[in-house]
Amino acid sequence: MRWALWAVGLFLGCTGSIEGSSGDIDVNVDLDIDEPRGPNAPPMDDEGNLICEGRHVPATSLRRLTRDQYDATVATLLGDQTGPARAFPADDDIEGFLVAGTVSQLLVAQQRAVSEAHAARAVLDLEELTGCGEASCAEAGIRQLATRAYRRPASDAELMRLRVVYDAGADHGAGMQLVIQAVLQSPHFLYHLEPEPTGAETDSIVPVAPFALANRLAYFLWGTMPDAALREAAEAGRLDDLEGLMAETDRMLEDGRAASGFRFFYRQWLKVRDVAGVVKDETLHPEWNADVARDLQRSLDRFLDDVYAGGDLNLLFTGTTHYVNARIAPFFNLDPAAFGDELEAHRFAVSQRAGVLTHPGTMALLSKSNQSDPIHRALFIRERILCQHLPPPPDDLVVEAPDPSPGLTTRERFAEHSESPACVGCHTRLDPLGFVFEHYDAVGAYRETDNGTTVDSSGQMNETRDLDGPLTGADDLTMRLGGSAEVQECVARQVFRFALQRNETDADACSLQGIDASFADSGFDIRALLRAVVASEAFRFQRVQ
Amino acid sequence: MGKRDGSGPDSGRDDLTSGRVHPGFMRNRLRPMGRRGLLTAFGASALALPFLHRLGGKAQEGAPKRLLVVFSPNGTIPGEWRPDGGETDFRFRRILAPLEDFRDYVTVLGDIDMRTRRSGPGDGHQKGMGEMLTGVDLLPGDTGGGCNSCAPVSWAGGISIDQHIANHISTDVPFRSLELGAHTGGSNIWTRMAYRGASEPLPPEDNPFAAFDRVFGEFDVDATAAALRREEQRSVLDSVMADFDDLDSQMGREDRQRLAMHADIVRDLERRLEMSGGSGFGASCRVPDFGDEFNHRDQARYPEVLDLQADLVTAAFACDQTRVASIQWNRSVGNMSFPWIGVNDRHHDLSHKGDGEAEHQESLVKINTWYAERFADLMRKMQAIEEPGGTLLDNTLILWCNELGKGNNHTANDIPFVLGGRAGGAIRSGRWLRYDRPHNDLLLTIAHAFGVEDEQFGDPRYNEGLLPGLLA
Repeated sequence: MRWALWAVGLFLGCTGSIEGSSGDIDVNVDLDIDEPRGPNAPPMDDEGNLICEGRHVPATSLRRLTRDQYDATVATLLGDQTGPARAFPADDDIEGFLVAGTVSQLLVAQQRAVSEAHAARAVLDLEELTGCGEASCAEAGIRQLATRAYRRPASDAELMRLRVVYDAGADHGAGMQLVIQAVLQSPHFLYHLEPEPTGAETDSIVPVAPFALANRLAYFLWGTMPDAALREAAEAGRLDDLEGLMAETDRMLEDGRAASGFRFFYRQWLKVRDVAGVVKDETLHPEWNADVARDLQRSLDRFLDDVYAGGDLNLLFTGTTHYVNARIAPFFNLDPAAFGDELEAHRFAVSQRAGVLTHPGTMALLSKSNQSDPIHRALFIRERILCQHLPPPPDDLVVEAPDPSPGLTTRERFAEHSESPACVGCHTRLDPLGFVFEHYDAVGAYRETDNGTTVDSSGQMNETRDLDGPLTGADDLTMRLGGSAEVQECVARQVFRFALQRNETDADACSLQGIDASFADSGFDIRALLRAVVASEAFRFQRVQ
Repeated sequence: MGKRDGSGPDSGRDDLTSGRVHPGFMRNRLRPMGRRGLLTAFGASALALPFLHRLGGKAQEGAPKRLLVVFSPNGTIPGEWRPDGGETDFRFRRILAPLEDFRDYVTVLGDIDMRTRRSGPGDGHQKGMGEMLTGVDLLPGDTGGGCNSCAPVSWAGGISIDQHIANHISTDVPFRSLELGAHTGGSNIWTRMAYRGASEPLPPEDNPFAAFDRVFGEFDVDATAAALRREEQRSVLDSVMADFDDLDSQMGREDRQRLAMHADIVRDLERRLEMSGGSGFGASCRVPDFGDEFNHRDQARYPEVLDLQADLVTAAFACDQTRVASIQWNRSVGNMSFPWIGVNDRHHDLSHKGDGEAEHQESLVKINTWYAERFADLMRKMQAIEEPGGTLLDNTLILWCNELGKGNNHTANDIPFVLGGRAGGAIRSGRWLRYDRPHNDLLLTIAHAFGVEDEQFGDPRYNEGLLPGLLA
């Protein structure tokens, strides 16, 4: 494998000069060196094929509930939809996915305050919550609550401790309120705990324990805690073999909760969660406001729900049914008078709107406040759809992004990138790709002209395994993405990262190879991909610390 | 209800269960919290006695030293930032001109370079932000910001100076430190400057109202309610701590360490419970009035958020809730506009403009001058608080830092460090000092000003020793 070393390159729009550097700028050096392999990687034969005998998984570390998971879990556990965890310190953003980060004093204080608020609301209907409204059955109520919250049967010692907490309350309600506070602040609730078998040797590879595996499964497929059936399957040992695990996986994928679980995935992967916060230049785009942004996000959600329901990866890039209401109709170039308040399905021509990329929500997100943004549109394709990375701009380089100027199209203003030697290294990978979206303006509406000149949406894809070549426009690109092996593998990587809440490593090579093969065999069916991730060693096994 | 004069209607019990302070409850600006007030608040409660004893003890010792770190992003315009003239007869140029009223309390530090940027992974902004207060390289890792072959990068590899000093001077007060901010964004290398240790960034609280509730929300709950609450909370936290203890035998070595860190913080919470009812330092403790809550994410209200955070830190210091704090104004690569001073372009975009673009350079001068005014506001607020030995400003050191020297070339040289206050007389202020030294030396010298007399701070490769002439 070749390992491209981009020694120096640029990031955003730039006309560059390196201050204080007299020599030539070393741009785009492609070094032919063997890729170093990380710890615990499976061996390879002389031809570079993986030898997947034995088990290979990397050392991983403890995960905590993300903010979304915290809120979803409390909603399942207590029926409390208030979603206060969004005020917690932000989760860490790792390659686009969210992972709960450092535990700080601030976080612990907020967790306490939130547990108190949840508990106060929950005890308003204890009967509903624990099936028991009086002191005589407190024990049963506590057991049920703790078992659900900890995603495994609560131990006798834990129950005794919670009983002591209960007794500190003045009456049944006050006691249960304190119990709920204690449960919600317990590490058994807050963490995805994956206990190691007693006496297991360091670096040995062991199956993820049944309740921990059920936990992985539930948060991957549903985005919340296991239900009673999944806990029972774990308890009965039905997750211990692959067949039983897949039977449970199929049950869960059939369940309506799977669609909402998948939302957590694509909202992070495709940045859909950011659309509702997009702000535009008020003087240039008075038609844009917070309600528009929110409805565009809902419209994207509906489209992506359809992709999940339809199952075919290609739909993601080429689906032509989008959801429109009167408020967002203008951004789809439609007459608002033809629509009501509710989102309704509308078929589009492929040349105007196809798939997630040319949805006005996505295009507006990938724009400046006052103009289209070819650089970030291309960067999105490179990073999210192709799993490529571009280097940051080098130090001590004066970088200037071109401003909108009268009489020049966006394309013309960015032309200098392809002329300056300091820019060309990275920008040959960005500008020609980003230009194919030039028909979409800063708010994602389709346009035929830019500053009075007919839009030229031709472009070029390069530095890919199987997509290189000239492009006539966005539709030309989107029709080809679903068939690209590089895109298919990237989608599989993204699902893998989301499922395991970590980046893939060299030690995962065999798992990934198996996932890619199953995904291909299925004809790139999204459910088959989810199943393949569950079936992988990386999902089912852990390395003892 | 032993509430002090002027506080709102009794809503104590609701507040306990909601975890929030009722609007209008105890947010009265500049209400005196004198010794008499404290006695009223606590009555003769036995639980309060150790605390009163603590107060009495401290009053005899004089006021403690405090450290505040503030940050503004994207570099400065050095030509308008560096003063003219000599060490003591200097004249501020435009950016620092708002500090003129406090020139005896200001120390401007020229030619301090962030030499840690010469090694380790990460881009200029990432390194600038993560290394600014830690003085060590960023760690290799898997956080974004790299490229296919750039070394992947992660958090900074060591403790930040504020936390290091907090470990020495802020352990027997309710909060070891307070991290506050405004528009600091999500959690990544560009948005975190305070580190509890390697790979342990501390998140700032962007919401001044939530921060207020955290610091002062239980400040003067009545004695009976407070005692009941302590009792209940103790039982809850005991159970939580026992859960942490149980896990010790089931988890791998590294995971145990992570859990132990979490458990330590819960233990801190328990400890604070024992101190609850509020601390207070002499007659100067004032609980600020935050008025009606508004959306702190609304960019148009950024100036108000900064003002509230400044009030909060001043009060938290005056009431001895903590002795170390930071306020992070925006974030590295922050891209806000400043329409209230006529700057509608965005900060990071502007910071990339060439030196020859006069109009954009002027906008950057305006932004940095506006931040200097905020720095002056902090000094003004602190100077208004009288304490043994002068004012709160005399007893505090404010460090103003930036992740870059200058935005359009991302330079690590001549970072615009400014000090305000005197750290209880430890800093010889009122001067314009030029060095040519690594910024680790500045961090080390600040530690010495707080009596933390280490040999070095951060990466030893970038330590040359104490900055001469800065300490009294």
